[in-house]
Amino acid sequence: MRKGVLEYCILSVLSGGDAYPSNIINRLKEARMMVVEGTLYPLLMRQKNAGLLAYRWEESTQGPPRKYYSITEEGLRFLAEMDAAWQELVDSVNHLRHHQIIKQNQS
Amino acid sequence: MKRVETIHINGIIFSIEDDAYNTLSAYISALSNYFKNEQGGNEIIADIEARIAELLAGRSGGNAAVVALADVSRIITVLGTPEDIAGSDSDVKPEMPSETPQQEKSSGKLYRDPDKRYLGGVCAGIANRMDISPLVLRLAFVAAVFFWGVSAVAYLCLWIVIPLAKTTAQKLEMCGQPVTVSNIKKNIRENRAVSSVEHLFGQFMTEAGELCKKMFKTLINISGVCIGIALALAGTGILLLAGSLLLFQDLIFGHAIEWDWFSFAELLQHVVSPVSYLILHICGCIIVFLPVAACLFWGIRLMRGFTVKGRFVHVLLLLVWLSGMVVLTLAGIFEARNFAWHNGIKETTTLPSADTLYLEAMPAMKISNNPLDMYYDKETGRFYGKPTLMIRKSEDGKTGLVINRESQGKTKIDAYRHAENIGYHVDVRDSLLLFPSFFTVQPENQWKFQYLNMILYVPEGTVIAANETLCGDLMFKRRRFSGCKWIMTGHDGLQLLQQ
Repeated sequence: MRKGVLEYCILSVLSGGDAYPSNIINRLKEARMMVVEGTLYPLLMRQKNAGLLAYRWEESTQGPPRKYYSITEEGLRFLAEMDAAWQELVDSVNHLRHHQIIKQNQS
Repeated sequence: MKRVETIHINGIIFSIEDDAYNTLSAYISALSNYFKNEQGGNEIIADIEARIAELLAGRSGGNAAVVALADVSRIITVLGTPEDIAGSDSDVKPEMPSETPQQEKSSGKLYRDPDKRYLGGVCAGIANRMDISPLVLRLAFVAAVFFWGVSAVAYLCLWIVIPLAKTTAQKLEMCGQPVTVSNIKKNIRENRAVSSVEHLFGQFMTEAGELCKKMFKTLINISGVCIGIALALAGTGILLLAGSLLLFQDLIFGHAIEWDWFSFAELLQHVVSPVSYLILHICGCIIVFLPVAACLFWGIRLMRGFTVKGRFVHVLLLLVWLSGMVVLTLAGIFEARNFAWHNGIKETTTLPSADTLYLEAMPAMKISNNPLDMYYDKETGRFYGKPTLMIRKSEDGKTGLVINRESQGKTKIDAYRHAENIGYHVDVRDSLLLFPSFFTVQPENQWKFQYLNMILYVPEGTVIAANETLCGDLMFKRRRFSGCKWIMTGHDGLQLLQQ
């Protein structure tokens, strides 16, 4: 469950522009989505293998070259699907909770 | 006091304390163990290493500061142990490597086991690897000692060759257990329990064993130094000998050198072409002095306890030496072609018959004692060679002189030309024959093994009177007679006459 959400988050971050792993980690930390950083790397690898992501090597001004990840066309399509699914999920949960609140209020 | 090691992660160099390094490498091997079944596992490890490098470089003090255990612990907390990572996506990887240690048990790496050892831990280590009881192996080793001590030697060799399992990660590898953080913790706990009941005998044998090993290593070092000294001495000796031969040959040999190699070397430049002469010198130096220099160099390196490194340079020097040999051989073959063919001219002169023939060689010439039997006159540029004379009985009753001029050459015609140009003339004055004691070779002809031999045919009963020079130089090489008189007999050839 959490893993699925994390994958969704990674795609979301990358849809806003290319980033290298540290950027992604920082963004996820800001959103309090990250438990341990080590989780990110296997996920990136799996998404890359699934064709959702691609990376390129880029020279950096300080230190060794970095891997810049970007989202692919397929990744964008997948993201759109996930967006829809997420919205559905949120709606469902909201609906349930909303009705519960109404019920509680009624009783 | 802590030892500091230098490592590089993702191309950045860090100084790291010993314990921090052990923890970090155990952590990374635990991760690679965890990801080894995953597609692109190596790449994931590389990415994580890059992140580790980034985190280390981002500490206060940057990558110049020494990495301590606390830094590594912080990194492990941030990145998470394999268990943490597994915990957050356990639905994807239900089987963890740590759950299947039994299958991998037999494929442990070979280390010496310091915890179960009696001597060096060799038997315990092999037993771990083969998954059998160390007792069986120990009994086998002890039994094999009675077969000419085979196992004792084998044990010593194995002791030196097999590394000791020092770190916890190595011990786990030895036992065939995957290196995971939980296994490391478990092992450390077990280890504490073992060391609390450690027995004195084991401790003593450990100390004694390490001492033996140290002594053995020292012995190897000492023998290396000895070989070094020997090499250096050999090199110096050869150099000194060669130098003294060149500089003090007069002192060592006096002037009476039987085989005059130095005038021979000088002669050589008139025998071979100038290019070949140069090649001979260069290649000669390479072939002789390169090994000498190598002896000196290796000797000094070994003597000072350095191991000889730089394989590339050695291979290069060997190639130079071999090419020296090849070039010299080629030059030799090339030069030998100038001597490929042999040809000669026979000249027959009929002489007036006489009861007594007087033979004289003029002038007496001191000819150099070199193996080619030749002499080179620097002023005229001419070569001089020694002719030979034989006296035989003539079958037809006539007196005659046959002069054979012979030479080598590049072709048959070339050889003929060289033979033709041999300058020699016998002066006949009635019964007196005057032989020059040497023949001449013109400078433009060079030395091509020109050779001149004469046969004097005399009828039976002829008396031959020869002078000293002729006897010594032409007829009997290097032997001196004081006046020789012979008579030609019917059956026994020349017989010495009583004076």
